[in-house]
Amino acid sequence: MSTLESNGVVAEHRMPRDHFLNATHTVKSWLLTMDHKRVGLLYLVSISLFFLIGGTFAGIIRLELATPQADLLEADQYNTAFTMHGIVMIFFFLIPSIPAVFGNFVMPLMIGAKDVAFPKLNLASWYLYIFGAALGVITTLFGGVDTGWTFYTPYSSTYSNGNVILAAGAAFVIGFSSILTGLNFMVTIHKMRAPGLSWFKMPLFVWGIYSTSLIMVLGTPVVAITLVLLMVERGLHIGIFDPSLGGDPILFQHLFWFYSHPAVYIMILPGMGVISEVIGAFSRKRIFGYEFIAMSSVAIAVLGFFVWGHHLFVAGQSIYAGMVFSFLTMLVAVPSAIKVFNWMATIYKGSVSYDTPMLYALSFIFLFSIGGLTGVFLAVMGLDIHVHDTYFVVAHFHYVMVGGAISAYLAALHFWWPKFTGRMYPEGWSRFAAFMIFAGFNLTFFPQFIVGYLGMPRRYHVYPEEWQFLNILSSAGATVLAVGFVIPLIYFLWSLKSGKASGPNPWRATGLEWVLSSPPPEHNFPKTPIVREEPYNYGKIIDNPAEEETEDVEHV
Amino acid sequence: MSVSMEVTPHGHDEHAEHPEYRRHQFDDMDQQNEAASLGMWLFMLTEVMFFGGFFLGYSIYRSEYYDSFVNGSHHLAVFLGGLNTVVLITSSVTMAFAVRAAQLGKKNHIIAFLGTTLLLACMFLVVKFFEYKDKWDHHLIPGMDFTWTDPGDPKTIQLFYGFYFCMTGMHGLHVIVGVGLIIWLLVRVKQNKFTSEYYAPIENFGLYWHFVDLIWIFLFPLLYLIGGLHE
Amino acid sequence: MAEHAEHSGPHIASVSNYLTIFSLLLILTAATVGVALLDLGIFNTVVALLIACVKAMLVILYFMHLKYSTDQTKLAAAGAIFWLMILLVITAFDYVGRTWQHIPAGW
Repeated sequence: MSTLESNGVVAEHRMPRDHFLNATHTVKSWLLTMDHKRVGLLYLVSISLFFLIGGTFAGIIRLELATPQADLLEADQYNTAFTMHGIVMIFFFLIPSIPAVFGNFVMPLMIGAKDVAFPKLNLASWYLYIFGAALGVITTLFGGVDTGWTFYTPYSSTYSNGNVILAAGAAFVIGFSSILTGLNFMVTIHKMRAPGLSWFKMPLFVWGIYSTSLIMVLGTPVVAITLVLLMVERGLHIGIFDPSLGGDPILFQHLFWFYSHPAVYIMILPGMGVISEVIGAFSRKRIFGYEFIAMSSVAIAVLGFFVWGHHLFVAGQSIYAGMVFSFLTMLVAVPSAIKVFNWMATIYKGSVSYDTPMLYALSFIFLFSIGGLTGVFLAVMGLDIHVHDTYFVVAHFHYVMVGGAISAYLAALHFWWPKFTGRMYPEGWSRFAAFMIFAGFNLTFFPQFIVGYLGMPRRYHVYPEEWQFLNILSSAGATVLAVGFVIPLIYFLWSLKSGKASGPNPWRATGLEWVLSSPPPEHNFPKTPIVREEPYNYGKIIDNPAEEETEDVEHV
Repeated sequence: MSVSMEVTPHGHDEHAEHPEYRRHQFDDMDQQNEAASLGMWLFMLTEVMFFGGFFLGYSIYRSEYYDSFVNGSHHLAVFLGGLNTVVLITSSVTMAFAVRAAQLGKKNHIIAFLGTTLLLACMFLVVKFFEYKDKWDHHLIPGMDFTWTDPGDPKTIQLFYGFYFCMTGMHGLHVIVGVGLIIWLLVRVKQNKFTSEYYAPIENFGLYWHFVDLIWIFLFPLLYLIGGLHE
Repeated sequence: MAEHAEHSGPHIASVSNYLTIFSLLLILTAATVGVALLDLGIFNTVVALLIACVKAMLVILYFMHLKYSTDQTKLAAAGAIFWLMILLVITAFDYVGRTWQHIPAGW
């Protein structure tokens, strides 16, 4: 990547001589690292692996569903496939994704800190993740579990022949990784901001990470204890969730969704934070309604705890509780809409460029809006009765989790890759992959809205003939999507050796992380920065970004 | 973003100037102590939500099967439960005094108070052991040949005992972890790692220990005194 | 520096303060058992829980030094109680609502 100087000369960038990647070289220095940047990269590698595994299960599902009959899998095997797909994608990929990778790497840089508050705890979080994920792999090797990632009782507690205790144990362990990460981030943001960096001067990504951490800390312990109860019930059959012994299966659902609903906001809030950063940088404009976006993140985190019963509308929950949950769910859509409108207002009359991160951000706005709106449809009890447990729901959550969260994850990856590695990826290929992912995604999941509305139930490996056409469209889309996801893997790896040096700030973006070299020095800032200006002051950007050999950065 | 880099008192060549207990990522001890304290309080928050799930299940089933919960509760030894309550409260006091001694830099007092806290914690565990043994002898462990011969519905009384063991068991686990941590603190105190300037680990462990006491303060009436003691 | 309280030093409680709280806690424990010996019907539970709450407040405010902590810490502690209440109260509403619908219990 080169910069066009004002005198017409094109300047090439060089990699900085010393940075955090080449500071030490041993495996031990990576596995015992207390550098938040390295921890972020450890997570990047791990979750990428599990994304591939979860994607493989998805491929198996779509392959089976290309035909109405059961030609590839039997019912039990199919149940295991969608269960493992859910567990791997949600617990081992989505929930850690942006916080563990980008929260760890970028957030301390954005606030001018030397590291997170508790670096050893940070490393421990990664090891807990690995341990929990290993338990998940062991579960799979033993034949997996077939209860759905939601582990509903009494099937999971009494009747299933799968490895429920192992799987629940894996989720339990990985939950603590999440809790400790959230705790670490909250203390870091409260106590380690650079002088002058007040709350309303922080980048919106930090607000997103903070709100996410709130949820991680408050919600995850509840699912942890729920899994303990499930494991006890499974092992001892004492009746907590078994109706024949006096237990209430719906109690499990209450306990489970008390966390798992806020968990979906863990998956989306960091992504929304990323989108704010990317939209600002590629519209070269101050984020419209900064305070509203900041506070809407906290609002979503808080309100998200009041709506879990919308997963229980047809489970046997009291209809009065259902009404209350339905109303509260409508409310939680409002802060999300506030964000979408503010992003659009930012882009309007901005100086927009369509680099790959921006393509993913625009994709996010479009796909998340569809996903979010269909969520509001589902919040209406009268409609939910008809589409609950159909592909309509499946399409809804894939629009928000893949169309939304994964688009944001890819936007973040492309935006901060130069910062992580000092290299640029090939823009032509990255744009091509972005279009392929967008096309493949819609082809996969839009037909699912239709076939779900027509009545096709989820978690079934067979379906009536008349729905085959829509299912074939979906499976074809999944193939395109899969190829689209593999392409970035290839060019990112390629860029490590052969990508052009990016320089400190290839996007000329605001933010303390862009002041440092790419890759950053081992100990981040040579001297603690003092922040004086507003965030996103794109109007005042000077055209020559700081050069590579930066030890003494004066200003940007 | 316009930023000025100013020199802070601490640069990388001034390593020798800060004590070994000051962590690198912090600018000064105030920041470190505040971060450690906030971290521990947030951890307490997670523990409240963790036990909260148990309390939810307990409260639902108690309201549904009140008579069974009364019957089940009557077999519990109120004397032992009450004794353990006093033991834990006392250990909380000795822990508070241990922190106070740390604030005043009195090493021998810290050791004395931490040691007493440790003894009381072990006493709690011993009492619990005898309680559990009694349940085992009377076949009152759910899922392990649970047999109820007194009046009441065995099926739902088993639910009561399920919660009894889950809640006191999880609490007991936390006591055991606490015992391990006190021993670790005692070792470090003996090694002169703490001063009246730096005693945050003792103080923050104190928070954890008081929390363990708090949970028991609620468990005692909720498990041992259901329906009162009048007959 | 971000959010550092300017204080001259941590609050060091007096011996008598701790001993007073200790005595109160013991008295309240005895009261809990004493009240259980009386027949107050539904209020047995209410009173027992109320006493437990008072004991808890004493431990939190004085032993855990919340009384002398920053507002931020007090907010965190209040938040814990509030979030626990969300879990307990809203779930309970489902069960209460089922009785309004005359859904037979004994699942």
